[in-house]
Amino acid sequence: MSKARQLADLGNQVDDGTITGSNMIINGAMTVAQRSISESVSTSDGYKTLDRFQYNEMGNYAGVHTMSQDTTGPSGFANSLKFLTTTADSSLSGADGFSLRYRVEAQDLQRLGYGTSDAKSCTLSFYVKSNVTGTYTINIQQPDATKMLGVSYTVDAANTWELKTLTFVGNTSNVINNDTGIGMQIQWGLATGPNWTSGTLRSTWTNTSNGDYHAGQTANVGSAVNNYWQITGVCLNVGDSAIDFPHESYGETLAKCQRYYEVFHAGSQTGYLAIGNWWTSNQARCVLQYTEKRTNPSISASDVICYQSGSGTEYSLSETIDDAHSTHALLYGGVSGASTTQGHSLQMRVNANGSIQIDAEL
Amino acid sequence: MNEMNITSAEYMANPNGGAVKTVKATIDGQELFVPLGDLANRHYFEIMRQVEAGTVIIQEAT
Repeated sequence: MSKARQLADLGNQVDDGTITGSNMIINGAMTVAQRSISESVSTSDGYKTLDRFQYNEMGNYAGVHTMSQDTTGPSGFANSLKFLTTTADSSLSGADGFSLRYRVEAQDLQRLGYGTSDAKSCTLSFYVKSNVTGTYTINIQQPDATKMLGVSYTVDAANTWELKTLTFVGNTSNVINNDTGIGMQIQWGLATGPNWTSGTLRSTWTNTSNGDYHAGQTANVGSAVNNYWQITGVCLNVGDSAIDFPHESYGETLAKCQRYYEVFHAGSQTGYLAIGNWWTSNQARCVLQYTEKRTNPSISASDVICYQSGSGTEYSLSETIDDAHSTHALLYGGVSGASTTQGHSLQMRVNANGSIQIDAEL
Repeated sequence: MNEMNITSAEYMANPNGGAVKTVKATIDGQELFVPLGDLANRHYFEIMRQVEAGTVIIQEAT
């Protein structure tokens, strides 16, 4: 490592030849996939597989992909996020396309000092592998200011893990609000129609303009069936050079992810959920508690049963959620066929095919 | 980006009486209970955006 690099990273700690610091990306090693490890993605945006990383589809894109947690990666990484093309869209028009998107919570970006003369540069680094060589672009947005800039990289060798390091300047003009909203959005373009490429890739923060989003991108991962694109080791750090990827335990990453999304699965058997009671003779209630969320979450519930204490009788519940707060919500519902005593306790369980999903994603 | 596909939305009666606190919505094929009044919740934000645009109507509680 050069002295120049060390000096350029005074904000980071230099220790035994490695530059350490904190990563503003959660789950950059692609280890946590609470929802699913593989889904076919098309039509609608959303968090489909790996935590915190979102599929983003644009226009009338016709491509279909398998988005999965892959069990391969470069040295030191056991997992990666993979898009595999299963239906091609080789002639992109208009706003067609798709991308991988990550959103950073605003209050976690206050260290960047945006909106001041001390606004700091950031470096985004990641490993990428694809059979599609060429130029790719990444759009970086600051939604509070409706500003954006872009960076580009090339996949030089097909089917080879390559480390990419991209630095972008701080925004001295516009503050990132100190709240729980979206502070920064990072969007890896993977197929980009002409509406997104007709302008100029901006190296400084400018007003959002569709043609600038992915200007210069030539690669189209969706151009042929069996094309693929993989990524792992995603790191966003303060400074003009990349830190060594700060690996962490699965438990640490899972805990961070659960601020945004959490799921109760019973697995192959029925799983205990909570203790509740019979609110009336045919309505059961319990308080559902979970890891503190970023904001009041949306919740889905399926295949929850009530187990009558003492009697050994199980009842299906018509699941309803009300009054969701960042740490708890009311789970209640009608129970048909029950003949119980008001106030008696019961066990809430999730059947093998059921789940409770608590979603406060950005 | 392609917006969320909201195919139904309905206020949920408060089980204790009083103010309504939840909308039950089907979004991208998934039934979700969405807390009212929190614009930091992306589902609520999108429901309100589509209500404003006239493409979604929230049904009264039954």
